[in-house]
Amino acid sequence: MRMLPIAVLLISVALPNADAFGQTMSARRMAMGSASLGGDAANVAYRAVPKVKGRSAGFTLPIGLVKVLSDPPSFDPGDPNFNVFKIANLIQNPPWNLQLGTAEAPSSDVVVNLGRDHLAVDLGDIRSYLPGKVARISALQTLPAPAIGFGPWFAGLSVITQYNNDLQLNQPLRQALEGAEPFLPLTEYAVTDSGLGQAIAAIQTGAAIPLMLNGTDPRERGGMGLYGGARISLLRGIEYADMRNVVSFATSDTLFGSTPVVLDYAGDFRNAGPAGGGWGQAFDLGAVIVAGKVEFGFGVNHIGARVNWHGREQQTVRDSVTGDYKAVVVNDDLSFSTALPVVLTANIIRPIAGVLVAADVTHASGVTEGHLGLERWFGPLALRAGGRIDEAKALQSSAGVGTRFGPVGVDVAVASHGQSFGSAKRSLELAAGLSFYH
Amino acid sequence: MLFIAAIALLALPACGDRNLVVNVDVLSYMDPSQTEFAFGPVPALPGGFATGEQSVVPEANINLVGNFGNVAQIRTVSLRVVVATESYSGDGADTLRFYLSDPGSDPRTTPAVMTMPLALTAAVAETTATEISGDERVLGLFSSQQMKLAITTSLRGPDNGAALSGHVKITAIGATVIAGRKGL
Repeated sequence: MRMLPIAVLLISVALPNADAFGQTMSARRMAMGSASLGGDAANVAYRAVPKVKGRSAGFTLPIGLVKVLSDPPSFDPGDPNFNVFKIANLIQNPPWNLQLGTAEAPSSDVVVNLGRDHLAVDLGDIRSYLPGKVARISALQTLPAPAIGFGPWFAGLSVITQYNNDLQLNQPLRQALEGAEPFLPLTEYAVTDSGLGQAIAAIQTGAAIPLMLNGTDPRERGGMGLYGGARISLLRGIEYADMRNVVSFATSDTLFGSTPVVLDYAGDFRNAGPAGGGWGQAFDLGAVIVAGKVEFGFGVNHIGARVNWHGREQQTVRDSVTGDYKAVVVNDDLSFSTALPVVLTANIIRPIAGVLVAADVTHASGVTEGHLGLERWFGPLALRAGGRIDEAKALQSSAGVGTRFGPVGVDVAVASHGQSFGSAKRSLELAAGLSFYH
Repeated sequence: MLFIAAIALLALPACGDRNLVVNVDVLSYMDPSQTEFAFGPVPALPGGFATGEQSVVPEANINLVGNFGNVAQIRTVSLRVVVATESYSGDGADTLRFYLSDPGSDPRTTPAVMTMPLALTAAVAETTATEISGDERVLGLFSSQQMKLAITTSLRGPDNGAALSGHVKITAIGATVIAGRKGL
């Protein structure tokens, strides 16, 4: 992959705008459980909804980078300071916000008991780091889209990035490693790792209009407004790569008889660069109902999103003569297409007794998350709290404060997450940022 | 197995004293009939009659983790042998010698990695355990995929009295390999 698209991919993973999952770039929203405060990125219809006082757009400051840059991890396995857990945590938690505390590393030895017909592995603490049925890391992000509007119409340019990685042990291997059960004869043990990454430019255009209005201001008592929006994106592939690796070994009728156990590896890779990026399309639809103080929104993004690519396919195979592994180009002009997951977002916003209550549910790639946030202003000071159900169906909480100087606000938030690699405990992260109020 | 070792080693942080410990049941690779033998009768002679070094296990192939040395830095290897002896009659002594070599060599052409003297007393059963560690050549052998093991016995009979006869059984041969990540 080329460096510039890689940089775009990494930056966009670290700079979510219309993120459906996990933490958000707005410290204000992060303190409110990452609940949606009504944005057109997730629901295009919000472009037509009259702006209400108190809504804001914002970004967090990269305070996490300071810690990482002052103590960067070593990527050299021969370095005494090499720590795979530190690296894994950085992947799980891109260093934008400041991670509070240190992820625990395993503290026990790994013990292997080996005999002619016996093999048992006790990974000790490392067992807790093993993937469950499938260990998945995924991210779908859309960079902030500068746009220009003409009445109900608008046009803009954005970049969508997606990253998935699934790691899976097959059932026998999971039993042997998680349960420290003996390895069995005539059994295949395998680890499968598959992943993909893609960066796609999106030229967007669309419109959002009021579909039905009752009264001059839908937020007035007795008022109501129904708004709809549609967005068409012309997609152009920037960079794509996917891989599937299988590492396995099969035991004979005697585990370690006259011949040693041989490790097998098979890998498939596809990649396409900017020159191989083709065109595609995506559609977004959204609707928002505003009735007095209540807002309901429902948005669907990436309908029919598909991009065509021309790239290369390689396989890693074992040379039957030498036993060495080598990469073989299977197809140097491979045509294929990829899809983006459809993202569903439903949200509600309502002030109750001076407290702004925001909640939403999002669904994409088979994962559903829920968010709930509260905010109460006391003069120039805001107190916030929230919670969310994350990808692992765990309840995470958050809190924060903010202050406002005219249209600009400063926010601080602390939120829990369960994304520390291998740790069952919740971790905390700190975010600080600015908000720009309407 | 190698990739499990590699993953485990990769996962061991550099700090602290976390290790990959491999306990190898060397005895399991041998034919049980070879590791248990009767001896005698060795007649009594002044100075004791020496049988000379006799083969017990000519050659046994031991399969280890494939190319373990490619991913691991072996720090220590210890070898522990437990032998049960019983002299039915007569006093004497036995010396068991254990040889290890790479797959391409005859173990008997290499220096013994362990020499285990056993005292034999009439009508007495004993269990003797011996452990060695720190042998650099043994450390190198456990870094590879396979090795060979040979065992010999050297009996010496009594000076006088009843002839020596009895029974020897090797009940355990175990190796413990302690490794860390290569490069440390």
